[in-house]
Amino acid sequence: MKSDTGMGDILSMIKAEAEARINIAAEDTAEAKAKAKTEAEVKAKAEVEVKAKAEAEVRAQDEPIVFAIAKFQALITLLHHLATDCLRLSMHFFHPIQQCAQQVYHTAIPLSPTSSHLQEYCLHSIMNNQLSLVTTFSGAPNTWGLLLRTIDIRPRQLTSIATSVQGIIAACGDVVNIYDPVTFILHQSLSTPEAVTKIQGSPDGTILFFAHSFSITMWDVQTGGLIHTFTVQSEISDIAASTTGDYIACGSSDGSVIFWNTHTRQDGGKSLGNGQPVVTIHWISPLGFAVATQYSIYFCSIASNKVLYAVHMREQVWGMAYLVDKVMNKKEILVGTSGVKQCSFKVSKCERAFWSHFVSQPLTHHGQLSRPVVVGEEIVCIIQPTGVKSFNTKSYGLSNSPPPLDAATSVAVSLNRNLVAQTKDSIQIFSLDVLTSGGIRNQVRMSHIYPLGENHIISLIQPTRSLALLEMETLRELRPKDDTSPLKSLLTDQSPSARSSFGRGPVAELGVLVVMEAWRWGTPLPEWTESANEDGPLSGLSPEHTRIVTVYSSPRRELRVKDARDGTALAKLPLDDDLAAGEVYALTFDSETRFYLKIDGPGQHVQIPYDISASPSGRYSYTVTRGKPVPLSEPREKPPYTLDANFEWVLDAKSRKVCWIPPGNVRRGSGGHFWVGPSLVMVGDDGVVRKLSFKEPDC
Amino acid sequence: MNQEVFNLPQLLEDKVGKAMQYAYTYWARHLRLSPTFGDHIDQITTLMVDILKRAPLWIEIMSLENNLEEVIHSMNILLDWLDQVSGTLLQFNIEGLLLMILEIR
Repeated sequence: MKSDTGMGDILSMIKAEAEARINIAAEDTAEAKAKAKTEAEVKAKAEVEVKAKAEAEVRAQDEPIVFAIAKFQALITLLHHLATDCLRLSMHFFHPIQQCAQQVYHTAIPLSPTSSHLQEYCLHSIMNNQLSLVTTFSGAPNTWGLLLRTIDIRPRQLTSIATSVQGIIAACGDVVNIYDPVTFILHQSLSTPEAVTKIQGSPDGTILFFAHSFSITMWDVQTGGLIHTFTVQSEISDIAASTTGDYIACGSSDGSVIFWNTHTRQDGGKSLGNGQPVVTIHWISPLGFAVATQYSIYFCSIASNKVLYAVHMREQVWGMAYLVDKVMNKKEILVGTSGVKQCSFKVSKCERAFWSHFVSQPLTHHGQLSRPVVVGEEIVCIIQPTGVKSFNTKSYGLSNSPPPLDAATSVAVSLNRNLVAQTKDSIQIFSLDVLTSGGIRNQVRMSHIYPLGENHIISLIQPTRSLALLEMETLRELRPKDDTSPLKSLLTDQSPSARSSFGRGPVAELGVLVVMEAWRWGTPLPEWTESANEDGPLSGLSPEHTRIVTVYSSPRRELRVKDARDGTALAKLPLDDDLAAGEVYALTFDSETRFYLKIDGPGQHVQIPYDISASPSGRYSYTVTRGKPVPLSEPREKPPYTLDANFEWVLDAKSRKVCWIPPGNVRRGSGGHFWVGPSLVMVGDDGVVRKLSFKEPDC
Repeated sequence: MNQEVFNLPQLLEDKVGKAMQYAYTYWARHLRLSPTFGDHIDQITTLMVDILKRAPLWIEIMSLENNLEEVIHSMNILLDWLDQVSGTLLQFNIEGLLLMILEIR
């Protein structure tokens, strides 16, 4: 009972302290007025609580036990919700809160899903005490979703991931990070002498094996020390640790397979002889393994150092998975082949490499197979380029709805049964339910957004490539009833400034005229887009909609004038070196033949006029001539908030990080986001448009 | 940014105090050791709900202590503990209902 008393004391202490400390938290940002208000609120709340308690006591005397239980159950449920929210919040927003404690108010609570109970209780007081600069977040998700955490490893790139008892092991070049299996926090980082291509852990989790180009290194997880290096003559394709951890086998690009005893470090080798590069290796018993080469599967025994059995395939092998079903006493190997089918082989007595029968099951799927993982009855693997697929091990059929893991290049399952997906520069940890969630995905996806005036957003819908018009305030899509709808007139009646405000990216390339021609719902956009080497080059359209001028900065800084109707190049002019250091931030037309560039650079803030004139003799039909720069007296107008280069943090005018944007909320590249005063409108990788509004900055 | 705060450990000790620092970090471990049945459950649950309604404050302190992972651990412990409590409650519920049926008879 001692611990029980201790618990009660500690909890009451925390409660008392929490109440007292509400004021301390407010001190940093809120005024004394707000503080007094909080105090009054707390006091009033306490009074109400005391009253309620007294009432409850009176009631409790005549209350039947069933109601008391029901009430208590409701309390338990509420606590469960709160704890879950708290857990998901701390995982989802771990990165910003770890860097800055105040981000729990600035980011985590305001950007929580709408169903969060924690947000319900805290948001009001955070907003009242002005603890966050965020005022509203429209388009917030309803639930926390299936993605538990994203571990961003930029600027590095992931080469391989694996899971073991120790947690999630991720290789990025010559650094291997080990993340805690429960909290997903980096708890160990190993520097390897060479870049790591594959990772394998011993089954007991004490040893890690890293494959490099021509060697395998063996590491002690506890100490982080290098135990031994095994070298090979040819490039390594795959490694596998035996089921007991006593052996490590390695397959090479020249078709040879070598295995070592990890205790004695003695090697025994067996060349498969046909010279086909090894694709993958799997241990299927303590002393036996299966090797997949380009066109064959071999079953080898290290006891006799022999190939016991070989199966030759007609199609190229890309991957192999080994399945053990203890209940059915079944051991199977699934082989993925490219071309017209996936084959599955059933093996009943694998130890003796005796194939009682095998079945070849044609599946209508093509592509490259990553190392598959087995989750219950499903085999999950990535098939490039079409994404994640899962097969049912009973029927060998493809599951109907692929999980939304488009960016993943390989997957693994962690010990506490989470799905770990590897993308180019991040590790995503999902709840396993993601495998059955395929149907949830929304089919209509926005890919680009541009402001149209102050009240509307023009957006590009995928995959139909048609246009949609959204209301800025509500982010609701406006649907026209017929051709005479006010939508068309909305576009035609826009003032020139509104037209030029969506003058960036592909819509600008099309030109407003073309866009308006295409302004019929469901009509795909006409294609005269030109791919640029950069995101959203600055563009401007002439008043009569005949010419588009674009400022490119790569491969070289130059102006290009094009015909707005068909995209023919009319003229080109390199930007002068004296402007190279400055940023061209505005392009405005005066007439069909004259436009201005505004340039903001070190020591200069100028406007330069340019004239377009016909040139019958030159390479292009027109030439552009530069006029004399006019210094601009007023400083350039900048938005009060900006996004940093990684699209990760919202910065204020003093470059302080004021809010963190969770990954996937801003689509990278042109048309992914824009600012309207202090509001950030963004389209996420999931095709959803969101708006995050901040307080007007104090002048 | 946490690392920009001057003399943070001292500041925490002055403002929060050693005892509170301990309580903030280890309350869940104490909770794990406490029984999942009995009269005090009602009190603990009510207290926990009150505390979790102010969870941002606790998370803030844990971040300043550079011990944010403890939030994740604590919540996992709390959820496990709650599962056990619910299990006991279910059993209690069935027993209570059976008793009521007997009484009615």
